[in-house]
Parts: sequence; C-alpha cells; structure tokens
Amino acid sequence: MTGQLRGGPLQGVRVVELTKVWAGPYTGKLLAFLGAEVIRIESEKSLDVTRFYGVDDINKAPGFMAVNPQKLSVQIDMKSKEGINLILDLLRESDVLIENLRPGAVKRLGLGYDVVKAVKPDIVYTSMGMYGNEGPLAYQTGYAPCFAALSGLSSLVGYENQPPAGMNVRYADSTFGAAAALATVAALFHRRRTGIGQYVDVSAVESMTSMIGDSLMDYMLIGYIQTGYGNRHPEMAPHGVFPCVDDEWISVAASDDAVWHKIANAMGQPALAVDERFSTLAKRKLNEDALNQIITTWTSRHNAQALATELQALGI
Amino acid sequence: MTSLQGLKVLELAESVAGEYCGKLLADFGADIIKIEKPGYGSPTRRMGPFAGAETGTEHSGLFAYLNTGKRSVELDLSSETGREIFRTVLAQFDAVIDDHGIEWLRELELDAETVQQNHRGLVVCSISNFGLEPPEDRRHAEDINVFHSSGWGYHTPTGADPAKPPLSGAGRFLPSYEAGIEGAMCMIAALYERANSTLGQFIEISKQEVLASRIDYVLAQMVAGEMNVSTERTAYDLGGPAGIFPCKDGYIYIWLSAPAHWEGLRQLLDDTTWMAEFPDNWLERECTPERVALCRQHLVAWLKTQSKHDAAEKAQKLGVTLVAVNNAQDLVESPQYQFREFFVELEHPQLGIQRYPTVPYRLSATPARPAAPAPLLGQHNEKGLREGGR
Repeated sequence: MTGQLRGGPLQGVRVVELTKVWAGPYTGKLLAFLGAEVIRIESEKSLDVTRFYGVDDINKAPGFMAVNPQKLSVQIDMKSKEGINLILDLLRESDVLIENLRPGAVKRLGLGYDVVKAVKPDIVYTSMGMYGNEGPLAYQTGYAPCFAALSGLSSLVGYENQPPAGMNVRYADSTFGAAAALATVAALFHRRRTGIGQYVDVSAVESMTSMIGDSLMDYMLIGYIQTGYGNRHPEMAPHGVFPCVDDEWISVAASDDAVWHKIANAMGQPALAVDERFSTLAKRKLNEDALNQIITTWTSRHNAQALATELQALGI
Repeated sequence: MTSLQGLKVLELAESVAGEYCGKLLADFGADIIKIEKPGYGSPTRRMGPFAGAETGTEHSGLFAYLNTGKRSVELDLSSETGREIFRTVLAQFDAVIDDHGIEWLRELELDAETVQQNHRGLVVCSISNFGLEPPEDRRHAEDINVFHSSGWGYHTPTGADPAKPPLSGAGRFLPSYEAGIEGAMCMIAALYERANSTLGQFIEISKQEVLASRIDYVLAQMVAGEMNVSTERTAYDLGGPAGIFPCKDGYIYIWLSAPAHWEGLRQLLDDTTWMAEFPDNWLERECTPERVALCRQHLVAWLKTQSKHDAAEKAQKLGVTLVAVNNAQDLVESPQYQFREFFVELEHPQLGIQRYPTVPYRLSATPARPAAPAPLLGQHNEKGLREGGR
C-alpha cells in the first residue's frame, strides 16, 4: 500500500469479528468507521440475539443495524471442521481478529491465539472478556451492569446518603468496546512499524474502573472509600439538576465564584452572591442543601430550554 | 518495547478530557510533553483528591493520576515570546492534544485550516464539550451538563423515580474519560495513516457526541420505532427483577432474564417454596410487576444472611449472574486485579509510593503501563522543548 489513499485512516486493514451482542460488535464498528474492512462471521445456527430480539426480520433489526453498519457478513458453520478451516483461510488474509465469545469458547472451536498465529503470524488478536482472559476469576461471566458493579463504578452512582443506584442498565458494553478498539489500533500501529502482531486481552470490568480512576486515588492516598453523592461535586456548588415546569430538568454548575455571582444575578437575587452562607465555595458546600432549595424554588417556575438558553447567554 | 515508542506529542490540554487522552498515549509509550503555565501549572493540579492537608501544585491525586509518564515544561502561551518558542518547536512533534476552544486554537494557529496549510504532517486532536462550533445554547458546560445533555442522565439510574432528579454518572469526569478514549483512538489511527500518506489531520471530538454514540443500540431502535420514544425516565430500561440489593456487608447486583437464571436461583436460595407459583419462563414471557415485587422481596430476605463475595461465588457456580457491588477497597483486594496487576506502584517525589490504576488491556508484545509518576511543574524545562523532552 503506497501513496495517498485518504479514505479512513484504517483503510486497507481487514478485521474479522467473532462477536456477540454489543461490546465486540461495537469495537468492530469503531474500526469500520475508521475505514477498516470489517467482516462479521455469523451462523444461522447460533444467531446473535440482537438480530431477532423483538423484530420479525433478522435483516432489519434496528439495534443490530446501529451497531454493525459498514460491515460485511459471512455465514460459516463453526460447528464443522470445514467451517473452522474457512475461518482460518480468511484470517490468513486478515489483519485483526476481534472476539468476545464466552470464556474459552474460541479455544474449544480451535481458533485460539496459537492456532491463528500459526496461520497468520502477525495477526492482532483482540480478545474481550468480562474479567479478561486469564486469572482466578476469568471463568466468571456477566452482562453490562455486572461489569459496572464489579468495577467500583456502580457504587459511585447514587443519591446522597442512599444505597448505590448504579448507572443505567445499558451502560458499559459500548465503553468496553471503545477501550478494545483503542488497544487494537495501538497494536496495529506497532505492527505497521515492526511487522509484529500480538495478543490483546481486554477486561470489561477494568474498562469500567478506568472511568473512575481519580476516585480510586482517594483510597490510595488516604484510604477513603468514595460513595455516590448525587449530582454534587466536591469542588463546585451549585452543581446539580433542578426541576423545571412540565416535569423537565435543568443541570446547573458553577465552576467558580464568578459563575456563582452570575447565577445569583440571573435569579434576580444578587445579594445571595455575598450572603454569609454562600459567599465562598467552602460556605456553599457547607450550606448546599439550603442553596439547592433556593435554586429549586427558582427553576421550578421556568421552562428548561428557555432557562438554559438564557443562562448560556449570561455565560453560565 | 511499547506500541507508540518514539512518537512525540505536545499536550496543551488543561482539563481532564485532554489530559486523560494524553495519559492513554503515554501509557502506550508515547513521549508526552505537557505545556504548563509558568508558576501555576495545569488547573487539575488544584483539584482533589489530596493526600492530606497539603494542597499545593504537587499534591493533587487527580493530577498525579492523569499525568503519569509525561514531562512538564513551563511555557507562557499567552506571551509573544512563548508563542514564538511554541511555533519554533512545533515541527518536532507528531501530534498535539488540546481541550480548550476554537478561539484558543486560532490564537495558536492550530485551527483546522491553518494546520492544513502550515503543518501538513501534524495530527491535532481537539476535545470539547459540544464540538468547536457549538450552538448558542451550548457554549458553557461542565461535565455534569454534558452528561445530562447526552440523554444518559435522564435515564439514570435504571428504574428512576420520577420525583427524584436525573442522576450524574459515576464520579466527576465520566464524559471526559469517554472522550479521552475516543481522542486517543482517533489520534493513533491518524498517525497510522500518516505513515503512508505523510499527511496529518485535524480531529475534533465532542464529548456529548461520544456519549450519544455509546447508546447507539438503543437510540437506533427508538429512531426506527421499535422502541417507544417517550419522556419516561425508564425508557432505556429492560424491566424485570434485576438490580442492586443490600446484603450483610454491602451490596450485590443480580441479573435475571432467562429460565436458566431462574433454575439456578432455585438451587441457590434456602427457601424456594414461593417459587412454585411462578411459571418457569416468567422472566421472559410473564414478567408481571407483582411477580417482580415478590421475587425481589424474597431475594432481599435471603441476601440479609449473605456476604457479597460468598453469595457471588456460590451464584456464579450455579450459573446465576450475581456479582458484588465493589468499592475501591474491594478492587485493591481483588485476586483478579492482583493477577492482572491492574494497580501499579509508582514513587512520586511529593506523594511518595502510591498505587495507581492502570489500563484495561494487556498487550502481549508491547505492554501498556504508566512508566513514571506525574512530573513536577516544570520538571523538564531545561531540555523539554528543545530536544522534545529527551
């Protein structure tokens, strides 16, 4: 490959997907959007649930179509020796394999890294598992909310002084897929310079932990275990979500005193900015319940979009 | 050997999104030179968590986490002298990370048009809240505003109580971390292509769009009419008895959606008499609110006698998807995290020896790890820019 192709940056890269549901296919999608040719191996005998769940036509499931655009699909019977050989033939002419089957499944199929490497020595082989591929808990399986729960992330989502509530049940798969895509592209970069492929082992739970790295530093530095604190922020106040008319909500944050002064002015209560309870961040944090109550009284009378537009114009 | 060894990246970023993007590249082995305001440094140096009463520029746990493996050079980009130096050294770098706005980029002659004219081999990545040309009602935002504008907040938590406000994601910076991943991925891909084309490019990441793209599976079904588009806070939910429940020493999460889970539960619980009245396939076909409530009531009663890790181990062996809701201490003690060496010890001149979270991927040929602690402010002033930090 020479000259200026200038399609997507991964133009000319061929990716084979042995994936299910959302996380693995999302990795393939990101690579496809970056220009790679992505071939998804499927089988009518073990059809992906996202192809048929809640729809009549397996070729028109909107969820599946959203996570698998720009890909090619090939049907291969993975339960036959012939099928596995076809996959190996394909891999011989490919650059990347993405798999997120159940722990150990690719090995049982005869498509483990050693086997694939034997036919394609410089393959970038990206394996995705809840806990990664090796280790004392690698046998465990779960769905997206399990990744979030195990990672420490769910314990940080909740209202003040309430039990953890966790993220929305849909969170985790796509983020896990993005982390796998990032690592895959880094491995491709190394391969382009050195000709050396490698095995990339991605953990869903660790991907989630990476979304709360700074919170863990609190434990590392002083042994403090953070929990959920609603929409609050240790270094900003106000910092919250407040009710508007028609059951709508508005999020408001003051990064410093200057923004707080603008908010007080917008509320028509400039005296609040210098009020003994609210004049500094430390005082606003100390009196945050009262502060939030005052803001709630104000926002409750407004339309969310109109108020957002008005506040943005004021630099809030 | 590392994947990005030898790549030279200039980091102008001053907030979490850009600094995390740079950290991800540094963990892959890129040389990151971080430009900081003389005597003041990055604003993240002034944000917690702190090790104790000391809150000086070298004591922020946030900065220490986000800047492992980078070098710090003080340079005043608001002065003409500083910009002259910046313009002179820019040609030595492969890429630039920024998370300010379009005006700042124009002042530095780093906007897309000028980069294409003056620095044809340079990869520039800009991360912003809503893109570089946001509409008037989206000019000012913190991560909380981005999160709630993305749709995720409105649907958080699962089973939201409409009387309570939509809830932010975990921690302070989830939108920034998500965007940092996207930025790093696009930058490496652009540098990959540059090896062939010799051309750089301008990458523009919108945090809000990154978050919206992370819910593609659900949004597509809504757009296509397969799922109801409604103002229900529960519109993203899957229903059923799954959820977080208290146990003896904390909380667990249990997922229940298929007959196999139900069968496993029958073997797991002590009292199963109540289960007799439930059809075997109720989770899939006859999931009524009454059954969900009754199931949860019995789960809660059983969990009162269980500790989180024991319950999870027993359940997993029976094919029941029950896991502990872990906290920071659980992660440090996790045998799996220890096996994969997820935490690494680094010695920082001011913070001492501390453990740091690493990355969620293990690369067999080019391991990605933080190689050094975060730099002190201006630690690499002497050689930093002239020699690309070497």
